[in-house]
Amino acid sequence: MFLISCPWCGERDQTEFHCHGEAHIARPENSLEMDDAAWGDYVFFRKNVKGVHLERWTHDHGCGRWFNAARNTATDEFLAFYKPGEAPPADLERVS
Amino acid sequence: MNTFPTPVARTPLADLPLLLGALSLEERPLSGKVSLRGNAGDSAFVEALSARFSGALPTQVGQRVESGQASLWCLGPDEWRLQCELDAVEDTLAQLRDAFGQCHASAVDVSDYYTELALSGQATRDVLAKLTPLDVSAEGFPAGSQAATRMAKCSVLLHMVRDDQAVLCVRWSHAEYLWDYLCEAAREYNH
Ligand SMILES: [Zn+2]
Repeated sequence: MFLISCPWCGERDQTEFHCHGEAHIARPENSLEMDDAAWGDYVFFRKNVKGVHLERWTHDHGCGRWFNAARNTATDEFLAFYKPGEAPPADLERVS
Repeated sequence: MNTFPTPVARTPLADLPLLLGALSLEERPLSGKVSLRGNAGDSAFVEALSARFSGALPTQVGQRVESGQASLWCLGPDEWRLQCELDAVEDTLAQLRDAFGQCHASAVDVSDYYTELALSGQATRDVLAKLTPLDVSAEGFPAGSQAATRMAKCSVLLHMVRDDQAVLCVRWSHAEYLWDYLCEAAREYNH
């Protein structure tokens, strides 16, 4: 069983959660001027890193909230959990 | 020309036989449930609620305060579930909406969106443990605890009323599934 720490509920089993992919993708502000390539990049293209990945999660079966997590995609180790709007911890690269 | 029968109010599990034995499972009579959303940092919102609920607004997820026949349970950083008697819902909604005034908050009647199952008996915790990844031991989830969690494949608001009784609040459309699952899980204890 692997545990995920919801910023509001604390440690819960992974099956209560769902991952929603890369975090911190800002919606473009110049959408009227964007071409298809730029839209394609915004909508479809993600980093797919091997190592520390910042991603969005929801606590579906608990409080239902969105939050962010830093996870090492190679080892599945979670390095940090933080609330939406908060910046990711600065020293993540060294932790991995 | 087709004529349709007059709709009759019934609870989701009304047609199922009760499970009675060393473990019992029964559907509770419909209770009043109000979903509250608002900003716990907004003093107008907090005051509107504390006018009705003596004591501080619970802001820790899982925390619950009782006030007379009603209780207020914190489900998330900006979400609460108010439980009261069914016939008190209308007045409660009117009072709360009036008290909220201009503040950015909502109170919605969700009474018939959920139903509650009561599971009782010595093996209650053992049965729960088969369905949820939550630690439901006496140490990890003492009597009085509550949590929103997963049970089998449903989202459930779980309230450990006593060491030998739990109340499970589930969406009505998931109720029969959860009921069947609980009966199956309870079978080895009911001989
Ligand atoms: Zn949570």
